[in-house]
Amino acid sequence: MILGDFGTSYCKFLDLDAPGGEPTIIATKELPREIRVDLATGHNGKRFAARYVNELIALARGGEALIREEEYVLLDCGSRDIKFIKYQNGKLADMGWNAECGASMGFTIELLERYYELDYTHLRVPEQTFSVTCGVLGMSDIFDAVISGVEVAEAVARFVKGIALNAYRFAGSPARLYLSGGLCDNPLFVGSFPCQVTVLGRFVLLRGLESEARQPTPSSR
Amino acid sequence: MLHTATILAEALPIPVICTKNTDSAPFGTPLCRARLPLLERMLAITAGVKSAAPYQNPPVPGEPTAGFWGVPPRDFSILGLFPETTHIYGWARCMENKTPADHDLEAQFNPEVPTVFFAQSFCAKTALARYLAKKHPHALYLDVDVHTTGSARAKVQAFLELSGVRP
Repeated sequence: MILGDFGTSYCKFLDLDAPGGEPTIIATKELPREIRVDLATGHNGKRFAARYVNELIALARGGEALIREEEYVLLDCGSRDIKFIKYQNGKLADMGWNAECGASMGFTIELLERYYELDYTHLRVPEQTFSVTCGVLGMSDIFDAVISGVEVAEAVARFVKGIALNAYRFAGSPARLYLSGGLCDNPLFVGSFPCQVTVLGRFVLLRGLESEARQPTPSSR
Repeated sequence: MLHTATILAEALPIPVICTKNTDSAPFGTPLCRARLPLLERMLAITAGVKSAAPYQNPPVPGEPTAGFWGVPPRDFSILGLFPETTHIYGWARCMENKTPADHDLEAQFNPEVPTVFFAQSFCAKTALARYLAKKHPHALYLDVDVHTTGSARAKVQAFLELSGVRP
């Protein structure tokens, strides 16, 4: 059985029948149009599979599989949106999915790295930040800061920190949180959270799909 | 809508007479508590405002497994996500009861069942929905704009499924 997490910028796959198989990633723009999987999630997923699991459910199931705690907040920061699941006493307590006002945060962070030829692994977490609620609108702050004499790298770092703070508040400002999604690989972003962060990587939704696939009664959506 | 009348009185050059809804005789809320498709029941409730006749042959109440609190949504498609065992609360219940100014009835909810507190942008009920959602032990506060977005639908689906509510 092949599982697919069809994201905005990257698609992740896992073949459950391959012994010791590891997830694979390809850029969404390079995705073959004829590709088909058995079980999918992600905002592009419905086009590529007969059975689809919505992203919040996949995230929650992934959290249940990976986190051995009764109380936690799991925040997923992807290319297009941010979403979180909060568990208390082993049960769902809150959730959120910001696909509009939090739009394109991850996408914009990657775009800026390429445009300005930066390397996020070499940028330190700045003391100052921008008040960023939207990836696209927040870019104005970068341009304004650069015009006023701030170094490009510093301005972009403030922007990234602003996005991290926004995501943190969106998740309810927890003392500690688990982080999933592509931005887990960005040390500047991870280091910008004002709380303890445990990084789970970008395959949490695939783990959620795996849990769904192994359930005796499929819940097709 | 006293505050609206106050603003209009200041803005308009004509006298504004503030009225008050005095409908206080309860007609009952059988549709809100029946086991039938939620969309079908909400359509019947909204159609019911055209008649002042007592309800005939009301459906029998069913045991709730979920709750929908709020006004009738602009986009009824969201109601299709809920099971037939969903009870209706909030102003939609006041509509069926024909007591639109009954704030006590509007503020009622069932803490025993997972409940979606539904609000629409620019609706005066938004603050109440958020307030009650915080008081409810197992709630999802859902604020949508004109149309039900994919993420709003996904939140309802996930909330119901992860809360153990069967379709």
